[in-house]
Amino acid sequence: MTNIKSGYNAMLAIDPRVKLVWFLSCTSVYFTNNPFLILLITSSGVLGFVLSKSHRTIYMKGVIYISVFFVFIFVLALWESTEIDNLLKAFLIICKWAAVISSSIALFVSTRPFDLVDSLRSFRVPKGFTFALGIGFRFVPIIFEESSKILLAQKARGLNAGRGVREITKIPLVLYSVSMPLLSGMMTRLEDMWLALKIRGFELKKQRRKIQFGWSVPNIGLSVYSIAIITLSVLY
Amino acid sequence: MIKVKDLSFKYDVKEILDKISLAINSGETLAIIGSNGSGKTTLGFCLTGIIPHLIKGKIDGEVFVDGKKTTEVQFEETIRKVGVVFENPENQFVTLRVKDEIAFGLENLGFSSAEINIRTQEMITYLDLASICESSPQDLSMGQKQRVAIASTLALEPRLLVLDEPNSFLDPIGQDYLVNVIRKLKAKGLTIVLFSHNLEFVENCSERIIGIKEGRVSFDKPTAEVSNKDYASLYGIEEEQLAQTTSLSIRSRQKGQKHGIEENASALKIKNVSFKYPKSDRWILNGLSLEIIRNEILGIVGKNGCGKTTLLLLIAGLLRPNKGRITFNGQGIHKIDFRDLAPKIGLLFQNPDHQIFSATIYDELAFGLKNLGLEKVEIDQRIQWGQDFFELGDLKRDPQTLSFGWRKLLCLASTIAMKPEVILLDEPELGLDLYFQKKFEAILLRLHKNEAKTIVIAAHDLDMIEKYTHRVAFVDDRKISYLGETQQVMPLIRKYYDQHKKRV
Repeated sequence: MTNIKSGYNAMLAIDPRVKLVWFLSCTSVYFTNNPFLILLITSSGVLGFVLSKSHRTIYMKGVIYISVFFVFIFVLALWESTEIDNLLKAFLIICKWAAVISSSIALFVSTRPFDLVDSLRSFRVPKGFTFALGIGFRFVPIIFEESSKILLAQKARGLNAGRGVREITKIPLVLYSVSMPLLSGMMTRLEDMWLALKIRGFELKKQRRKIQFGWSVPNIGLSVYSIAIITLSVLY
Repeated sequence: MIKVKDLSFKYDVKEILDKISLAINSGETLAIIGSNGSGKTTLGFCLTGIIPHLIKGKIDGEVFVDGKKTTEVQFEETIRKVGVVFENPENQFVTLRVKDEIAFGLENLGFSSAEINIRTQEMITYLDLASICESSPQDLSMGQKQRVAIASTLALEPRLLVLDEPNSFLDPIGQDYLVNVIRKLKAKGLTIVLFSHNLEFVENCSERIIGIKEGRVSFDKPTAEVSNKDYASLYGIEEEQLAQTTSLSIRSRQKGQKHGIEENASALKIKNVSFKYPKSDRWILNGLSLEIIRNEILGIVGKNGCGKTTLLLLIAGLLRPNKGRITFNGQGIHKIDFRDLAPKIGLLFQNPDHQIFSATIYDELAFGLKNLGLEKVEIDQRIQWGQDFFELGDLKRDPQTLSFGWRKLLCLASTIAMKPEVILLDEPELGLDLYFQKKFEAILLRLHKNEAKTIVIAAHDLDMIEKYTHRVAFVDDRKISYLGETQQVMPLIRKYYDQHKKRV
């Protein structure tokens, strides 16, 4: 979860499983062509984005780049045709993208990875998948950390792919010198982790504990809204 | 509790254990020591049933846990009695929250939710983890990680706990805390088997020590009866080397060299340096100033996470300070071209596996030299020098087949081959057995004396720092708290650690 220091983050108070259903309701925008529903879902996604304070995170940069891209597409659409129907279609397509992008950012910013894994597990998503996802979340920061350490170790021996055309030829060497120790380190970690799993009795087939639902007004309200939106999107 | 009878083990054709017999009594704290590659870890795997259940190989002889042969019982039955904490606790974490990590084994073994909650809470209280139980294991200090790993194993209530190099990554405060945890567990009646290179730690914790050499039991004695002769014969070093206690600064003075360093000849100047990682609000170093004198050996010590490694990376020019200035021979290091700086300031990283990637020792040594754009003749000359100086043997050998100690030595050779004026060493003795520790120390002294190198060592091992440095800098609260001649500063540092140990 991205660290957000100041201000009340409303999305943090929501049960992760409810957030997951809300996210599904935002992605259901692709099932509908009803302009009113599309606008409602987009507003919900953008509201989630703002309430989760995602705009204060590094994701905002990505959103700005994507927005510039959309504006470019919109200008191209204007160039092709100025008919109101086509413009409306282009606008609704952009809304659909905005709903999915803003809700996915809001979900990841306001939900810790293990909560997400637990939520998926409670929806009976196969254990192998959720476990792999959990291990993935666990390994992503390690891979980044290890790669930067390895790169520094190689730089300390004078390896430097700087800027300029001549330096491009060094990129394969940089990649090779980083990826080989990274791979071998990851293999060692995986071996250790596998032993640690086994020594603590891990078997993929076995049932593990369930998590309890938090019965609060925002949780129930958002659940009802999300299920209603998914149903309407599929129907209309 | 455990009985091992004529145990031999082979991976493919390589014999690791050779007719080992030993017994571990219930409630005993036992240490198993030996050089890198002597077969300690394999023996640990045999005691815990990992061999033959999870790791296959040719096994002869018998291992009994509570009177039952490990080969004849289900693995699940063995793991209810035996718990293992591996050397690097980071590698064994599978969940994303401390609380979940402790509960993980219990969930796997099918305990009820109520029982899981009770046992998890017990472990959190027992090992003082309440303040971090909601954190991600990734965000913890090494001492905290070690405690979480122990808690997650103890939650299963094993009767035997195997700890593989538990103190490797810990600072003196963390080590002291671990010794207390081990004593607490012992008082609870737990049988504990420790595998460690650190003799002081082993002597502090265990009642009996078993030495393993080339897969055989070299000695098996109560701790009080183990002599320097036993250690020397186990690690293949001279007894006098173990007994050597005189520090470098005292020896230099005795020779009338006044510390053996060039007075007032500054090699590096660090002035008011502050540093924080991008996207972080936490300052790692804040307003740190330090002067490194040419041809001295300077020690940098401090608690886990105090910024020792960051300081070395800044000095090597691999990181850029947010504020302040670092000068090398009067020139700002960030104004020096990267290719010119690498042969002037060499850095040895903690983990040799972050550096090694080539297929042969020759290629590994040549990597840095090629980056400098040297001619083949010059490269070959320097490699030849490195091979002789470090006794590296066959240059066509694959570095991955070398033991940890040799791999670390190869990394040092690869750095020194670039002929840097300043050598920065980050935890040079981490993970090394006594033989390689002594080899490393001898090489450093030769480099300092014969090659007139300036050496900076960042380490937790206060004894090593005290013996081999002229001056010491103590990093605390993001800046240098104590700086001065080793003999004068070390008592202050030890006092600081003692006060913090009491507080912890």
